[in-house]
Amino acid sequence: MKKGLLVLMILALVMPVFANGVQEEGAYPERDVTVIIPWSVGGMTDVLTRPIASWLEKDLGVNFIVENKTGGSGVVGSMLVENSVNDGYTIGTTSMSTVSAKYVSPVYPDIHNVELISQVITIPAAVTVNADSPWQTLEELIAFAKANPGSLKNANSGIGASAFIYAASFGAITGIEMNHIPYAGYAEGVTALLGGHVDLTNIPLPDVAQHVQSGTLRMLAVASAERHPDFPDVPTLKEKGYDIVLGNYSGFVAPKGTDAEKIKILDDAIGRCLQDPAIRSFLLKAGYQPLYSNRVEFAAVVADAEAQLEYLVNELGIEFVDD
Amino acid sequence: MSFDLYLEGLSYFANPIMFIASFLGVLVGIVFGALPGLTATMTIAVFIPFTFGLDPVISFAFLLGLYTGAVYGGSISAILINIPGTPSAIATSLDGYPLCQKGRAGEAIGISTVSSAFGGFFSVLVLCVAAPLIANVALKFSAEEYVGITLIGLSIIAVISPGSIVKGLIGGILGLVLGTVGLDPITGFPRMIFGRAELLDGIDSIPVMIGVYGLAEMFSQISKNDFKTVVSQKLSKVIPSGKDIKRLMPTIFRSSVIGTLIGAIPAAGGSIASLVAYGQEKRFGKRRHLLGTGIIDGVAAPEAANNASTGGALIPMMTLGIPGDPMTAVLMGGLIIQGLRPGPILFQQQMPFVSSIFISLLLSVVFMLVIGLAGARIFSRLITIRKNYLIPAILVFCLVGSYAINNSLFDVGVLIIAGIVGFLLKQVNFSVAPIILGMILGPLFETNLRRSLMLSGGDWSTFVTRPFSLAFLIIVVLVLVGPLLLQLVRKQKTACEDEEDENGGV
Amino acid sequence: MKKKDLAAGIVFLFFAIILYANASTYPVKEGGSVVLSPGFYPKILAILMGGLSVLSLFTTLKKWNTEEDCPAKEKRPLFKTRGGKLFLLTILLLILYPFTLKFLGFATAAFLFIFVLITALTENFKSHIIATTSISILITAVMYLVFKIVLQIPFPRGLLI
Repeated sequence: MKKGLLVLMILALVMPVFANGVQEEGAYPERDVTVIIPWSVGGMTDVLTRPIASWLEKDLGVNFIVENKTGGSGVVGSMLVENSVNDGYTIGTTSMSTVSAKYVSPVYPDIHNVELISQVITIPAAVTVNADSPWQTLEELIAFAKANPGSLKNANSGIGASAFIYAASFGAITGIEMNHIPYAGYAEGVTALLGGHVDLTNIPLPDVAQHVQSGTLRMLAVASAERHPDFPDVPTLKEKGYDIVLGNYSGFVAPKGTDAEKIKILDDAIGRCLQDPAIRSFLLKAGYQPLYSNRVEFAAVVADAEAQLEYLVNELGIEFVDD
Repeated sequence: MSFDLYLEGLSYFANPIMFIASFLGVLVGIVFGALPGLTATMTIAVFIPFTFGLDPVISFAFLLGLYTGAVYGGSISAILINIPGTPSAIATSLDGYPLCQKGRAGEAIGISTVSSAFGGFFSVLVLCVAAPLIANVALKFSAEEYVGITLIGLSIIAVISPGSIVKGLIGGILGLVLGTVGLDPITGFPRMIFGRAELLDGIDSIPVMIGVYGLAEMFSQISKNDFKTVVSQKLSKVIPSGKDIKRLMPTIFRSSVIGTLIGAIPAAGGSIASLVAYGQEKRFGKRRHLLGTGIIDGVAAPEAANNASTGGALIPMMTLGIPGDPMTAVLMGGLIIQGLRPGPILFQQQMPFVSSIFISLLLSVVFMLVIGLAGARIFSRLITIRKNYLIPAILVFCLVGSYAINNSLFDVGVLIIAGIVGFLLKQVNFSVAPIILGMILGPLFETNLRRSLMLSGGDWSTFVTRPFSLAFLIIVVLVLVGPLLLQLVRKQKTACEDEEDENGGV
Repeated sequence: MKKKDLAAGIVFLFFAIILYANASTYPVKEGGSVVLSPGFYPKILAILMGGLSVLSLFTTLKKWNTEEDCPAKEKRPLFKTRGGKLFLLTILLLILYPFTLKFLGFATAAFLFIFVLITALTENFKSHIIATTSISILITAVMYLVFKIVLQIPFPRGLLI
């Protein structure tokens, strides 16, 4: 039995090598590409990746098979991308939580272990309060917070998770002290704000937008570089004198060592995709801000995110509890 | 909101494709819900990509059919082989499986179908009439109220444990302990993960559930070494008699109300709803002393509740854009991909679409009733297959199903370990339901307890100063000491009224 | 029964002690209520479980000298019976399944699993060999249809299907 197992094990190990050996490469891509999404079906990344993947299918003429590999808040899937064969036929998606994972999880993916392909969207964080609250402007909110340090309750999406990072950065740059209340996700955090159980949140635009439009929530500022087209009256933090841009991004990555030519082919195709008005309007409708950056520009975005986290952890001593 | 627009949605009734989509959805949902290892959430997630190209109304008729069918289908395997197809069918197996062992599987499925249909129908009505109202009440629920609701669920563990209460409680705590595995939701500290990335999100409760129910049950049948005896199933009484339905109507109605309300509270969901419905039946039902031995009351209560929770869970999703449970979260993703983001804006501006959703739900309830009653004979005949063929088939479905949940072999390992532990616990007369319930409710309880104290600044009085929270805590006390109180009441009236009771009863 | 109860009580007591010890190593969050530290809740659970297992041990021991509740059926140990052996074989097959799945592919592994187990469970299987084979193929085909074709579950690629 043992011997048999051993033989099988060796065979299984040898098989992929053999399979790769015999393949004579034609023009890329010549067979189906697997897209690994480390988050669940219907989640933020999933919703935006699927239409892009089916656009790429038409453009590049092969199937883009989307697989959701969930677990560990994206850690499992992201590590799976890192460990996939770098033949260009497995790619994955990434977001800021791939970068922040190392502060919260004992096993974590490293964004430097993958090749960046391109960024497709950005999701600006915002400063949102309940419409019944007394604060009409950002100044009023900050004045209140300074007069009553630690009394404002800010709903985030879990310690170390994205909305917590925005909240910590927002607190640091405005110099206010808040009580951070962790919720299981964006939806739960927004629910708490709707119910008046917390005072404000920095949860990004897509999850608060429709409540702002329907008048139950009030958005005091948005943390993007420019005002959002749907909310022209809401000022940016920059305009208010706080030089900071906060938000998440989503983009495509490939396992380390994937051929640069193949990455360029994918990057160019994604660039064309993001110019399609149909895709753009879909993304806008779903609450995202389409923003294409190629592999080089994307690297700068990721580096920014890393620097922001480093600053939070090292300079401000924001604690991510760890071993 | 204009009534005309509401009526506009009715025009979808004229579209035969909608009927077909709904019928197919229910049928596929029932089959997948009944297969151990395929949860309702997964079924929906798997089928959503098929609907991308379709008209949103048609695709939602199909998806809501899947949703209704899968939640109902979970009860079929709970009754036939003591493996709840979905967590919300755990309470169903408590009386459903004993009924099956008595040869009354068909009757149990029949009752389950009728109760589910009533629960589903009731919740759709509530969704149509009072959705925004209920959603606004649910918004008032903060962490303190969630603590109360989960405590009600946990206290019911003590009520439903057959046999030794101490063993039931140990099982419940074992479940709570299993629920702490993974990243601590408040501080992000990893607890008991043994360096495994798969454990960061905690142990998935589905493979554990399939293990302690399915595998353990198969193990004990195998170790008894008797593969010939087959319980012969009576098939005559599949469609419940009017008398039974009339008798069960109060139970079904109460459970539907419970299911709709609990379903509407985000994150509570069908498993708590069916548990609470069963628990109240055990406490206050007319035939509570027989509950757990295999009576149809014990099937009707949880089944009405879990299907009522489907409509309930759609309330916060449709009105606020907040998914009530994992299944509606996936459904919501499906809507967003169609370019329709559910929430207050959609609810106000897309009335025809909203009413088409109500219609789809009603259709799926009707199809569920038809398919369920027509299929009950076939389903209960499945169990009469000889066991030396049936057991391997069930085992392999459990194996592959638990792999398919997260496409992970790790879960297969969890399944096997859970199966062995569950088998050993059965040997020492532990019931497994408390373990799973503890595992599902534990994380909700802990996070909300700690969140409440963060919100209140460490002040414990917050649990009694908030009216809803206080009310829930009173319910918990009533559930726990209820029987004592009832006994007191009984004793006082025994002297004069007992005789009448006996004459009037049965 | 009593012996089993005693064993279960001891196992759970040990489990509770280990749990408590493990939870004590978790970091304590400074400031705020102790409830906010990650170790608080597991410790409470450990104490509850320890208390309950002591309680169950106590009641078991109290009954220890009274008469055995189901007197001496003179049971053979489980693992010497045919059922016990089949049980062990089933567990072995279950543990082997993930490996065969990886090496041979999902359908082949499923077929082998079902075939071997039916053969083991069927007394006098020689007369049922055709039925066994065809039923194994039938179940495998259903599984393949459901999981591979309809659900498109990405199974590890094995040597066969």
